[in-house]
Amino acid sequence: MREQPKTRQGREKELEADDPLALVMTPVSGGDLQLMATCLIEEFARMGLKEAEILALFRQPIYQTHALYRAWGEGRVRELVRQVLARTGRTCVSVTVLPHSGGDDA
Amino acid sequence: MPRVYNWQLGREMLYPYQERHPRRQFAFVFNINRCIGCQTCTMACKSTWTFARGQEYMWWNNVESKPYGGYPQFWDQKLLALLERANPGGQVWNLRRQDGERSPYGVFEGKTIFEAISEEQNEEGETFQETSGRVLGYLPSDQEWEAPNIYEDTPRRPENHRHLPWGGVGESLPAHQTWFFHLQRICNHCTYPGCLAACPRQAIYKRQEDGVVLIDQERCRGYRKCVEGCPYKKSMYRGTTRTSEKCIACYPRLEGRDSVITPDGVPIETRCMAACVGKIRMQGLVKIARDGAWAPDPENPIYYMVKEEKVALPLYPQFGTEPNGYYIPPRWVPLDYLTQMFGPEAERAVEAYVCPSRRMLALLQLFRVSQRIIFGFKLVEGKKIAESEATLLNGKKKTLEIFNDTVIGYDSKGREIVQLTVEEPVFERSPEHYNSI
Repeated sequence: MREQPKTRQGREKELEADDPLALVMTPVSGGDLQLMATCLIEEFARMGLKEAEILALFRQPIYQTHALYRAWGEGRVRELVRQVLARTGRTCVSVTVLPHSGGDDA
Repeated sequence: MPRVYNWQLGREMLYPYQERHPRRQFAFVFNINRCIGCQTCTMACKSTWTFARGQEYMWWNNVESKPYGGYPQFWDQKLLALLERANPGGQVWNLRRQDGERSPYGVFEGKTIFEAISEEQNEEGETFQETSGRVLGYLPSDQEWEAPNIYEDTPRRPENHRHLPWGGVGESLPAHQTWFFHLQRICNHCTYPGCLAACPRQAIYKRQEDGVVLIDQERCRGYRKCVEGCPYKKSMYRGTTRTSEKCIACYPRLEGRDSVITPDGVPIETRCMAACVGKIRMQGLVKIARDGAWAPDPENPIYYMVKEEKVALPLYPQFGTEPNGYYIPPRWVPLDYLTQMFGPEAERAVEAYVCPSRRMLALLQLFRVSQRIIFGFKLVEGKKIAESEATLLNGKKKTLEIFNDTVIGYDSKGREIVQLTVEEPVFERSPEHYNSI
């Protein structure tokens, strides 16, 4: 069998600035997915969302949090949601909106 | 060229027109941390203002996922690259020159889009042929406008959605395995608009009463210099009318002239703000002093967040247009990226948000409780009810005190609109402690 020439494939290739699509699907250095997921859950908890509601945001394929759900699986996401909620609790607020002097908010 | 004062840059800068300021300024704060990218704001705007022929690719409000997305594609990377080419290595902030209200973010020592254009050639002797002559910019291609969220979505069809027609192609593409955040964008109704500066017809003007930037459709002849000149690419060309169009800040709502939704004539927030499901948006009108500074008004929520707490920052202040849209930066994004996008105060803003003051925490509850614009707010203090934990940028935890405070919002006539009370947080036990006492 003839030996294939050794060329770099796909993501092994280095970024070239003059490539018009170079910024697409190019990893961006830094960042921490675990930190991102933790912060997002904390945010939803501060808004008063429950475990099932937060998990639903990860399950929904139309939201980008779904990328984490796919990568990690439901078990890991659920566990993280529980851990964060146990630590932070959910902040709940009661709201009273007064009507316009002529009608409710439309 | 006249010199004007830009407080976001902490210095004077060149601008084609003399400095003049409105009495009040349309401004807004978006909390990036809470956006889920549902695009409800986008559709609210689209269905109100840009649903007609010739406006198919026109999205005055869009939400793009950073670091990949952009509408038009790569708008910010292209602008940053143009500025870097004009002033290699010189786009820097001097934090040692921070001075209160005059230069709260330090002094920007690089070149703005108005100053870089005066450099007709860069070091390689290249000229900027693509510019309008007054503002450094570029005209995006049609292709760059066509697909607002291309490459941003999870490319694979989920297992339980096999009935969907899409997903057959690209199923094997890799999904993004990196941090991201959603960036919500509308026209910033800048203090020194790039679009206004670039227009050769003087068809663009800034209203005295609220600082809203509008294109006079009678004067506009569709030269698209505003499309080139707006660094945020929020002026758009419409082929059917051969004029350019842009966000109008829903000014009939802002003026309180819609008798159906505001029978008592108080200003109402724009469609994109009012429709926000994630409760990330707050809009207001801030008082402007004669010299262009924001007149002190700590009861105004926007003033309080931008000037007192400094928790919300302008988007790419280095462009030099003094944008009036402010963002609470995402708390999980690498600091270098945030600094480039929001300026040198990004880290401090994130910390002020993650562990907010008592007043700030209360104010955060006022986001999206009413579509009437909140002109003032008051805090009635309650007792401490709990302690919670918050995760900082470096991953460390900090204790956050929760008080049973009440926050009250007021409309333009000083009447109470809404009252909120923070209730005791609910703690949910982790599975391993379900049965423990």
